[in-house]
This record gives sequence, C-alpha cells and structure tokens, in this order.
Amino acid sequence: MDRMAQLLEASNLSFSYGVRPVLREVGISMSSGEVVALLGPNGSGKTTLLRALLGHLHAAGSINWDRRALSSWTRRELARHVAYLPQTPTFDAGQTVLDVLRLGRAAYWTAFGIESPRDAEVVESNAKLLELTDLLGRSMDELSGGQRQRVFVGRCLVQEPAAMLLDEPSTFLDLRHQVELCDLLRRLSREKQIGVLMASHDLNLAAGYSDRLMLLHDGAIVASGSPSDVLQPELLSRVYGIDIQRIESPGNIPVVIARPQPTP
Amino acid sequence: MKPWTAKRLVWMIAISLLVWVVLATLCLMVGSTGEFGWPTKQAFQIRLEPVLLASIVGAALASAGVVYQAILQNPLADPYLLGVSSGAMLAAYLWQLPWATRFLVTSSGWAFGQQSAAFAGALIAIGIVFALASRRGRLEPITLLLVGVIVNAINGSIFMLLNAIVKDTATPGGPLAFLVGTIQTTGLSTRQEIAAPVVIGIGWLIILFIAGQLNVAMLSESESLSLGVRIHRLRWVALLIASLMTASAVAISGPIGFVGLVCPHLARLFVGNDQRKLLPLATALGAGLLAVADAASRKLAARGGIDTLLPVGVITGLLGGPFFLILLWQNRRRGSVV
Amino acid sequence: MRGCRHWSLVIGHLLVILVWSLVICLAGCDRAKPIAPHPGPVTVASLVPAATDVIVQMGATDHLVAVSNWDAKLPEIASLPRAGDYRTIDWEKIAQAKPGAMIVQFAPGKMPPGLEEKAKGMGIRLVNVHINRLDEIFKAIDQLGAEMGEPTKAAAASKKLQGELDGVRQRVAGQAPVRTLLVHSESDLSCVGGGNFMDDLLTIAGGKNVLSGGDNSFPTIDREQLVSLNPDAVIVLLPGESQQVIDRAKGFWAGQTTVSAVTHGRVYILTDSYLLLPGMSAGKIAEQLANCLHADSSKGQP
Repeated sequence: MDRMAQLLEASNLSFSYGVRPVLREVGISMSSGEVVALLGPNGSGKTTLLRALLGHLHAAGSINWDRRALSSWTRRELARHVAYLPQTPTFDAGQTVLDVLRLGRAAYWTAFGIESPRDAEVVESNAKLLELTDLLGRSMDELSGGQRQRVFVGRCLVQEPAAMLLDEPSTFLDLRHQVELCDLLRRLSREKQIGVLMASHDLNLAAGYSDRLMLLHDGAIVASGSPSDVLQPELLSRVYGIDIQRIESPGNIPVVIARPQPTP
Repeated sequence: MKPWTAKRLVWMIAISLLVWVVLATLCLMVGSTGEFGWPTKQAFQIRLEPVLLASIVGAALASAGVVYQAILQNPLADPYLLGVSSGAMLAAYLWQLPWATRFLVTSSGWAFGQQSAAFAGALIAIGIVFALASRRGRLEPITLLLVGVIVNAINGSIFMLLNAIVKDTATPGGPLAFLVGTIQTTGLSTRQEIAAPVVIGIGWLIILFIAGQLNVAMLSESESLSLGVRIHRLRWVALLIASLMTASAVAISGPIGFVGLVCPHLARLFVGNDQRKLLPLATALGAGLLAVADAASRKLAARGGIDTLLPVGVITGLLGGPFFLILLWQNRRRGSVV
Repeated sequence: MRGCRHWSLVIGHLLVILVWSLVICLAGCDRAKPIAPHPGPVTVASLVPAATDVIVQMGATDHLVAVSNWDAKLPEIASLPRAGDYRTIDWEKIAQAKPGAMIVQFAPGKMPPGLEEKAKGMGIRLVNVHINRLDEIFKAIDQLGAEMGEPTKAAAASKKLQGELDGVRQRVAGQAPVRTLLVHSESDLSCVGGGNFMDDLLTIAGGKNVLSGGDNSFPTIDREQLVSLNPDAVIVLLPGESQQVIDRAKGFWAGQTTVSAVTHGRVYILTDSYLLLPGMSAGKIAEQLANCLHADSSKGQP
C-alpha cells in the first residue's frame, strides 16, 4: 500500500479566497501509471485543488510529491517531475508547433537559455509519439482544436514528468477528439508510467478512461473509488443538483445521464 | 530540431556585432563638415563620441524594450511606460531652476549635475510605479501599465504647471534641450562616459542570462510556474534591470522615443520571437539605428542643409512612426495581431 | 416602460436648461463694452518685453498700465498687472487696465483675427511692432514715441542709444574684428547666427560672427562644426540663469580644448538680464560685448 501511493500524497488541504472556503480538508493520492479523474460541478474547487497541489496557491495541509514535502522542491525540480495543462493554455500568435514543444524543456535549459542535444532528442521523440512530426513547422493558429491540444500535451510530455495534472483538457473539443485525447492520456499513462490527474466535466468520458474517480462537492471529497462505486445516482443528483439516472451496461462501466424532464 | 547551443549563441552575438559595426562605420563617415567618406583624424576623433554614445543609448533602449515587451506581454510596450522618461525630464527641469540652487550646493561644491538629477528622478518615478503596482509583493502586467500611464501623466502635468508658472528667465526656454533628447553631449565627464557603458553592459549580460526565462514569461502565470520559472521574481528582476538601463540612457541623452519600441519588432522580422536570439540582434539594431539617426541629424546640420542640429529624437520619431504603420498594415494583411 | 418615459422627460428638461444657459452665456460674452478713452496721456499695455524696455528707459513709464508676462522684475513696473504675451492675452486684466493702445509683435499676416476684433470692440488701438534688427529698434522707439504722444522723449532716447553705440564703435575702431561664436541659453551649442540684432551689435562691438551668412538666425551646431569653425572668442549669453546652469556651461567649455577660444582663455559668460532683449539696453549689450572682445580685463572667464 505504501509503495502504491508514492507519487502524490496530499491530506487536509484547505484553502479560502478571502472568507469563502474553496477547499475543505481535501485528501488525495496518486500512483504511477494511474489515471485519476477529478469530478464535480462548477465552483466545486477542481482547478483550485490542482493549483494547490502544484504550489501555485498556498493551501494549508500537507502535500508530498515522491514522498518529499512540496516545500522542499524548487520550481525547476518540480517542473521536471510534474507537468500542468490549464484550461486555456497560452500560445503566442506566430509560434510554430516546434516553438511550443521546445518551451516545455525550459526546466532543463542552463544559463542564457542554452539547450543540449538531449533537449532536441526529447522534443523529436515526443513529436513522433504524438504524430506531430509533420506539423512541426506549422503555425499554431493554423491547427484545429484537437491538434492544438495534442501539441500542449506534447509540451507537458517533453518535461519528462512522472505526473501530469490537466484541467478539463477535453472541454473545447468535439466528440471524436475528446475520445482520442482521453485514449491518448490513458495510453501514455500505461506506457510511460505517468500518473495522470485530470479534472473533468464529462462524467462518462472520465469514467470510461480512468482507473479511479474522485467526486468533489463544495470543496470536499464526497466519494472516491472505482467508476462503478462513485457513479451513484442519488449522490450525483445531490452534488449536481439535477436528477441523474444510471444505466447499467453489462460487462462495461455504467453510464449516467440526466433524467429527461417530462414536457409540461 | 537544432538545439540552441552556446556556439549558436556566440554566432548570434557575433552577427549582431557585425551589423552594428557596419552601421557605426557608415556613421563615422558622415558629419556636419566634409563630404561622405573616411574622415580626417580630427573629424574621426570628434565623431567617435556621438557615434559611441548613440550606440550605447540605443543599445540600452532596445534591450529594455525587448524585456518590457516580454514581461508586460504587450507588443506596444516601450521603456518609457513605467515613468522613466517623465521622471527624468521633471528632475532635469527642476535642476535648472534658480530656486534649486541652494539645494544643489554643498560645502564641498556641487552635489550633482543635471545628468545625475535626471537619473535620480527616473529612479524615483520607477520606485513609485513599482510600489503602487505591487500587490502582496507581486507585479501584475496590467496594473503596471496602468500605474505607469498615471505616473507619466502626473509628472507631465507637474512639468507643464511649473513651466507655466516659472517665468524667471528673460527668454522663454532655458536649458531645455535636455528634454528633447540629444546625443551631442553637454560635457559628460570621463568618469560618466565609462560608467554608463559599464552599467548598461552589466545589465545587458544579466538580461541575456535570463533570456530563456523571458520566453516562458509570455505564458500565463500558472504555466510559467509549472515550467519551472519563478515568474514573480523574474518580473521584479527583469523590469528593475531594464528600468535601470533605461534610466541610464535617459540620464545621458534625455528621452529619445521609438528606439525601444521599434527595434525589437524590427529584429523579430529576422529572428522571430525567441528572446535568446532577439536580444542580441535588437540591441545591435538599436545601437546602429540610433547612431544612424544621429548621423542623419549631423549631416543635415551641415551648411547647405537645414543649417541647424535637429534633436535626434525628432529623427527617430519621423522614421519610427511610418515604420510602425507599415508593420501594422502588414500584420493586418496576414490576419494576426501585432 | 414607465421608467423609460420618466427618464426621457428628465433628460429633455436638462437639455432645455443647458441650451438656454448656453444661449445666455454666448450672448453675454464677446460683447465687452467699449472702454472710454482715458483722460490725459495715452495709456499703453505692452505685451512685448522689448517695447516695455524702450518705454521705461525713455522715461515714459507713466503711460504704461500693463506689461507682458515675460518682462523682467523691475521696480518701475512692479505694480503693473501682467496681461499676456505672444501666446495668450488676459482680456480681463486688459479691460480693467483700460489702455488706449496695446503693443504686440506679430509677423505680417500672423495676427490672430480674433485679436483685432476684440481690441476694436474694446476701443483699443493695436500697435504692431517688429523688432528684429538693430535699426528696427530705432524705428520702434520712434513709433512708440509717436503712439504715446512723446516725440521729444523718443528723440532723446534714440540719441542716447545712438551715442552709446557710437561710443562703442569708436572704442573698437582700428582694431581687427575678432572671430566670435555667440551662444545663447538653450543648450551649450545653441548659437546666434546672422540676421538679428545680436549679430548687428556684435559687429559694432568689433566682432565677426562665425555663423553669419547661413539661413538660420539661431542655429544649433555640433562639435564637429565647432572645431572646424574654430572661433577666437566665445561669448555665452545666459541671462538670468541659475548658478548650476552657469557652472555647467563653464564645465562644458573647459572641455573643448581643441578650440582656439578655449586655449587662449577667451570664453566669456555673460549673465545680465537684458541680454537678448532688443530694446534700449542694446547699447549696454554692445558695451558688454566690446568689453569681452577688445579690453585688457575680461569679464566672466571660466
């Protein structure tokens, strides 16, 4: 058990914006090669939790990455260990795909921004893995949303991280790209033994591609476990505030939908 | 992908240096007396000073411009946005007023000259802007821009107020040439002439050192942090160094516009937006172009030309404005925002 | 819906009040009552410092009822209101001072039309002087004397000035003119060229302006031109400047070691307040210049 949760272990995390508490004594853990989905309605604290785990906010409680307290990590060290993809990633107009990917290696650059041949290797191999090699010279604003998101995942991967934290990575994508992205993340997690923690709006998509779900409500974890355990209609209805129906699918993970309202 | 190795950096610096040398040589061949061509020994010695001085000032302004545009995430940022020039101008103006005499004299002689006063004024203005714009020890780009605009406006108003009230001089004007920005030195001491390049040189090396981090600074705060850059500390350090360099430049020559704004953009046309490549080239272009502008004003001053020495700030304005319009027009065609 | 109608009523009322007030103001303004001519000697408001200088020194100060913003703080005019200059005119003060004539200096065709209208409306006679060259100073003395009805004082002043100038001419007669660079306040190399009264006075004082013959009356030169011109004397005119500015000029010239004037110790700094004023003090200016260029003891060396 102890070996399992070695990548990330956080407990008693609390944080408030002014007087409004956003996180209440949240505990979360993750191991290598695991995909964990963080679910919850708007305002439940998903983004805040991710940022707190990275030390972008000062939350009360303890956070251990690789069994070391977060406070003992320098920014550069942490950047080589954990990658982060926010909801709306930034890119400069006129930047090419290669420019964006290279930037992910910033934590490995030495003084004066000097790069090493290893930086080039890592960028090239990850571009190949994500099928971006042909797009390297293209400008970012010429790409589709799905392609762009792949590039940003690539930017995270070149950090050679042991963990990736993603904030609603599939929100602005169409159905096909949503599925492709989640599939990609799960594959990467298995192949490279990366622990993936992603906040998500889409209950079913998350359930379909994650090993574990955690449900956040009003800043507190109200459920944690396998998809089957967490997707309980009464609990979900209470958390999301609408009527939720669960549909069993023998041999597969159950599906949840909002119960259709009768027409007045 | 070719990695940005130390060798490539050295090449970049060498090429930039070459660009500057070519431009500077052209400037030495031009003057307010004589024809275009290699100068006499005497003319060479005289022309060397304005060419070198213009180069140092141009280099400082252009590199500060690169930093400001990167940190403030705004392509229209220039080194005067945070109060440097208005603070320097106000201090220089106050320095020459008659009632200032008793504050400037100490028992051992003069406390400081007009250039030092301008430098101090610039620092005070920057200090005020940083103090007002920092929240819990952090500098936000938008807040900085707003506070900078306000402080500039206040300085300008105080200046105009004093200028309107104070009519002690028999002739309207007085030693206000400083305020328009000139390269023709009003007698810098040897100590000052060495101090300025040293200060600016050290500042430039520090900026080059952090050039990689400046690339990351263009991203959002959380992305910068997650890529290993301590963005808050970076903003303080980079803006402080860039402001000091600008203050030194303005203290030497008065405020000269457009160089800090235009040269980074001009360099981007050649090397793109990678700050590690942009910094050396933009600096060289700044140094070279300001020397060229100064040479143009010296050439125009010759007998048969316009017969008076135009302040170099006028020439940079005349050149810089249309250049910027062309740039905007090209970008509109391409469909992306500057 | 009801709220909207209510607001439009309020706005409508406000608009009507605003327009009404505007109409009243406009009707009232710009119709200053004509001023009854002052009984007794002609009164004059002078917006030109040179003209004020002429009037005061010819002994006709009692005609002055207002002076310009830029006039020096002389005791004779200390009590008079400062009513404007070449850019702005304080009509309220003018109206209160009730001058019969107002002295201005505008190039032909450059006088703002509103100015003529207003002055005419107030019954003030506009006297446009043009004082640029030395001979124009004499013309102005006569003109002002005629306007104020003081031809005798004007003639006496003219004679005195002419006498001072002739004195200087005699003093320097027979001596070779000194190649001189005249520098004035704006910056260390803002110079006085040809085609103005300073140049004329320099010639009388036995100097030859190294910058005469150019297009520009007040050119700025650079160090290269300075070295190539190599004047034998440099006279720096810093009327009314602060001590730190004077010291800075001294420092600058001390550094120009390749210039003949510097190596021979012939850099002079003058700070009298009447320098650069084309008025009655022209004679004193000429004497000051001659002191520098053709005397054994020189004033104000660095």
